[in-house]
Amino acid sequence: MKPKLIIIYLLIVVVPLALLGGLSVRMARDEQTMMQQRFRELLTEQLRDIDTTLANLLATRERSLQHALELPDFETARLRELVRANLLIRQFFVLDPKGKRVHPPATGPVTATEQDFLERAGQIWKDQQQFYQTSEGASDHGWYVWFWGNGFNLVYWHRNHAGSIVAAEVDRARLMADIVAALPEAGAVNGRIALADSTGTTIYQWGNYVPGPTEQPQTTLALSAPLNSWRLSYFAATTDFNRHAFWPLLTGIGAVGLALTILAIYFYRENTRELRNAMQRVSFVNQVSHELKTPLTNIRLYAELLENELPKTNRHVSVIVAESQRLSRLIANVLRYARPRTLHKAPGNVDSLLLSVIEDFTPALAAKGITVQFTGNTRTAVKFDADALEQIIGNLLSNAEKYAPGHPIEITTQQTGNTTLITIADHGPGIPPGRCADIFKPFYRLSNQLSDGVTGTGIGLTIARDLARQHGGDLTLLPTVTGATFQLQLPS
Amino acid sequence: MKVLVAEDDPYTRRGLAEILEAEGYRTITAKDGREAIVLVECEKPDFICLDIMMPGLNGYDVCRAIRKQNPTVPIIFLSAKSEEVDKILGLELGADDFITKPFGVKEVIARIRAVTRRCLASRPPAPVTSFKMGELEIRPDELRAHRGRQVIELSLRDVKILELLHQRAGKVVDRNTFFNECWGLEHIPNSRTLDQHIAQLRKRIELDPQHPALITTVHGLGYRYDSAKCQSNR
Repeated sequence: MKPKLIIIYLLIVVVPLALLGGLSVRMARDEQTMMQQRFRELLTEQLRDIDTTLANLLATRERSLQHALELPDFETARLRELVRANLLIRQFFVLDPKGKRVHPPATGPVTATEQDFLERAGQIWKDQQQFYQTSEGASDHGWYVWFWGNGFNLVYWHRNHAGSIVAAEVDRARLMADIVAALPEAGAVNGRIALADSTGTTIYQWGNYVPGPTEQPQTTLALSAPLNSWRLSYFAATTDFNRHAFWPLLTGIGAVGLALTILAIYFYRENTRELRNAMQRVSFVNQVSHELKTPLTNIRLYAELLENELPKTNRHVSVIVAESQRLSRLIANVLRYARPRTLHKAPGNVDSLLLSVIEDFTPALAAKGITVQFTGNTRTAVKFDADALEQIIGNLLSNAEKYAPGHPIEITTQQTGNTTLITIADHGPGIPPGRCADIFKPFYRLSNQLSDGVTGTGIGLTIARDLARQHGGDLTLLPTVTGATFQLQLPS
Repeated sequence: MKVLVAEDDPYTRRGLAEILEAEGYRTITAKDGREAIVLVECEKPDFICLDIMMPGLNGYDVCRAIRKQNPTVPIIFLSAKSEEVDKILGLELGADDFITKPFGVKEVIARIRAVTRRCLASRPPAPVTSFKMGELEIRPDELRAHRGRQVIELSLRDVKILELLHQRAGKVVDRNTFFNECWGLEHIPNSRTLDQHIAQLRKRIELDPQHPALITTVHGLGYRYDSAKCQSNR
């Protein structure tokens, strides 16, 4: 296969399909990204719902704690009794307006749990300023979170009208149980939602999807205060959706490509077959033309010999000679058209070559009542291919013989500057003005009607002009009032 | 001069031989390549016309074989193959010229004369190269005659006839002498052949062919060149 055909195939089939494929994949990927984003937003929405549920839970707890903290006095025994009665509260503490601890009692004996609490909540007493500042809520109440030991601790505090601070530590286990109870049913979740505390440890997870050990969550949401150091993560399966989205698309494009390729191969094969047939026909014509030459040589040779021997009055032989010359020209034209060749130029005299061609033509022209008037004006030798020049002049004279019988032909040569001009003018019907450009086209004939009685192949002028151009010159039709005038230019 | 024509087509072979003989050459013919090589060895022709497409051994091979024996003998290829490569191959093998079929008599004659001129020019110079008959200067080695600025092309036979008449100026040259000297012994032409040839020659070299001054007819005997008559005519 020729490289040109491969390039055409690549340009017409492969490149557009590749572009189409690339664009489609890109579009599909964009769409997928968008869908993933929407999917994540949906998941985030779910997490936000959970966050709202938990925030509501804490608000409920806040209300009940607020209620519990409205105490008439801070008697130690009563407070201890309240801690025992309220499951939600793990411990109380009370500071007087001056910041002095009232409960657990600063003086006097404390219980073991109170002692634990004092250790656990030590930093509150150390820096009370920070206690207020880092608390979540208004200036007279709020949540305070701190970390001690193995986990997080949560305190709700309240400042009463006398300026004392009353605070309750929330029971962590109780709170966790409440949170878990508030979370949605496991079956309602397609992925896996994990709740992680401030240290990143997953404290609770649910849902029927099992993520891989290193899998990143689709989306993550921090909970609202006071649990804002906690994170909700949503794991979900989306990867298979990634992998298979392109298959139908690529299969479609591949099918189109395959169809086009099969079509291309089919046309290529058809074309090569036709080309081969045409080549065979051309080679057959060449072969026949070569084979015609041998009998033609003999006819021409013997006719010319006979012509020399017989008296000049015998016109019959000159017809055979003229016709065999015409056949020679036809064969030369066919072969030249089928397989053009390069020229072998040698310096020579244009006039003497013209005279010899005219002499060959004289009997045939005389039979049609055509006389030739030759005016030779060349002074210097010109480089030309004798066979080619003979063929050009022969074709032009042959046209005059066919189309302008009964009129004289004038042939003139002249040299101007670096150009030798050969002008051949007949006084026949000429060429209609609109068709002057067409006469040099191959197989173009002014009239194809059989009744015209004019024969020809329609390649004479084409070949004549090609040969002239191969010489570096040209063959042109000069505008004239009557007849046709051709001018051949040859560079000196 | 002796010419070998190697051509497989019998009509072309005979036609070429006739043209060459009419020009004044002795011809030998070969119908294929092998015969041509044998004849070149035995007969030592002065030049060779060689067809390319022949049965057995083609023209290129024959040319190669001949060149091995004799690198200088002129060879003219005759061929129906007119493509560039064929011509180039022929010329590269050492051929002197290439005539493509179908060819005309005039083309063959012109090319053969050109090759003959080259042959004659390459030979050692003869003591007398040119001679004058009246105003006509005949140059045998050029196969041409000059009259002032006019140049007349001559065949080998024309030159032989004129040489014979010039050598025997003032005397009658009879028909048998012409045949023996100019046609060769093996060729037996009839008397018409001589008269036709002289008539053709007069057309070219005489100023007035109807009243010839150079070659005068001696009725019943033959022809004569009379230098005195030419002088008086002036």
